[in-house]
Amino acid sequence: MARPRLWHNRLAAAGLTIVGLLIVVAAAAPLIARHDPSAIDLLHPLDPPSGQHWLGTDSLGRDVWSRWIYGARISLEVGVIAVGIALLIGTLIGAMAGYYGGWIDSVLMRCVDVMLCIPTFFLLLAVIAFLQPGIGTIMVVIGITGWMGIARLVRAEVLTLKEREFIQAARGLGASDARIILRHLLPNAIAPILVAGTLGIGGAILTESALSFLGLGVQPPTPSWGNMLIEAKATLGVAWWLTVYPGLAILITVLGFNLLGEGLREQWGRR
Amino acid sequence: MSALLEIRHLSIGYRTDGGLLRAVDDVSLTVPAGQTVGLVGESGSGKSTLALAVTRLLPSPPAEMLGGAILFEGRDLLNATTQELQAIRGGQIGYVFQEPATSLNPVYTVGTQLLEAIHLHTPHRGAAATEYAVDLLTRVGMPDPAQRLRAYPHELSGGMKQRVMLAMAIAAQPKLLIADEPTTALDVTIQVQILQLLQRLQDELSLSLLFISHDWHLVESLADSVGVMQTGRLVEFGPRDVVLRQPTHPYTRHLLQSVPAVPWLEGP
Repeated sequence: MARPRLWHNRLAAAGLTIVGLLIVVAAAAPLIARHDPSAIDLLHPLDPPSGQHWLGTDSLGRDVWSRWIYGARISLEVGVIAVGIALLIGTLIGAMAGYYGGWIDSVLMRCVDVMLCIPTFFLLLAVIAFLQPGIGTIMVVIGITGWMGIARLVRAEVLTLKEREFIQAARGLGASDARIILRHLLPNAIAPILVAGTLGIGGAILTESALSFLGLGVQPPTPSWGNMLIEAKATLGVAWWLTVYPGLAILITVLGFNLLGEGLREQWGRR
Repeated sequence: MSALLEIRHLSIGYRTDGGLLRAVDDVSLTVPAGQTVGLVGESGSGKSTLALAVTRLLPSPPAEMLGGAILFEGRDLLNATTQELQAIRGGQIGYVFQEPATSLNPVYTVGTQLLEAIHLHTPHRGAAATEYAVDLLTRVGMPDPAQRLRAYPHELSGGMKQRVMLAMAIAAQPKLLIADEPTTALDVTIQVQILQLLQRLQDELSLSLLFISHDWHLVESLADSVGVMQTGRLVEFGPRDVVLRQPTHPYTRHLLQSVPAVPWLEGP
């Protein structure tokens, strides 16, 4: 029921295709990659794209195609898990604020306001300064700085849903608060949460790339699109392929997730 | 013990920007075991507030208990803990609401929701629980009960949804059923079926029934005693025949006069 209609929305279909391809590429990385992404070949640095190295090699002679594909893995992983963390925190806080109302709502939402006052990127940099940079750190940090919008969204959704009669009926049946929130409210709010999550993955991938570009994210030699870019910066004038392909990858991936998110939003007909 | 539910001098207010609104004002009434009490009144007279207040279902804020007592089998529910209330809701006191269309969760099947009620308040589990669910649907007169377990609410008609709500309400064999305008949203023919079902269930399970309605005909055919509410006050309460034949309060007379005469509905 849902897929065919989504399929008819051409932009959403494009988004779904991009995301689907990305998942396949990331999952099958060892099969598609033609070289070890970390294998250094100092005899062939900065080779332009060729039959042997489809996207050329970098300054250490590593195969860009292979690094590019493994980078997709990292980006997806970071995007999905970071957004997962943000969804978990945001949904929990938003649901509690919306369901209980009163002072609980006020306190939680003021926390959200305070978090939103701090520029996210500055917050990210500040938190990372105290932690060991790495994939795990970056997922957690992006997650715990990105839940506020989701909390607001879930709160608004819960506020309208809790007035519905089936919630009253569930309470009349003796269901506990936790049961009502988890079994009755959230499943009815899943559509906007999924939309926000999908859009959030694009943003998280972008943040990961930016942080990695600044050297605070995924650490070499693990390839990520962001740290491929910074390695490419030094040779920008001679090896265009080192910047263009990771850059394109980020662009297309973020575009894909945003198109898919927008498509889902239109599909479900809500904010 | 004669009184299953006894409400004593209950007052409930809603906190609004314009001050405190007394939605229920010093109401006392008794529901004897096995009997039906009908509660009549126009919209906004406090009937539903009273019904929800019995098991403390009113959201607070804005609702506030201002005083009185709600004695269920002698225990004051105003002092009960959340856990005790959750055991009583659905376990001892079942609810049926006005809108069957929106009283079922749209994302779950009938079976899932019925099983939730069974799991919450009965020891039945697994296959036994499913069997009991089918049994409950059979008792509320649902055609093809085993198939209906897999149906989603939107696949059922209003009358069938209300039957499901009734099945959920009686799952734990409660002592009291509070029905808040259970037939208002239904077609007239379905109304009659649901009322007959209510009466049958009441006999089978020796339920007490607090029946809330604005329809005199329904109350007349169902209730043993009748209460009349006006702007939060219970202006009249007594045996059905007394209230209907010799109303003492002018508002009751006024209400009774406003009932359109339908001669062919009068019984022999």
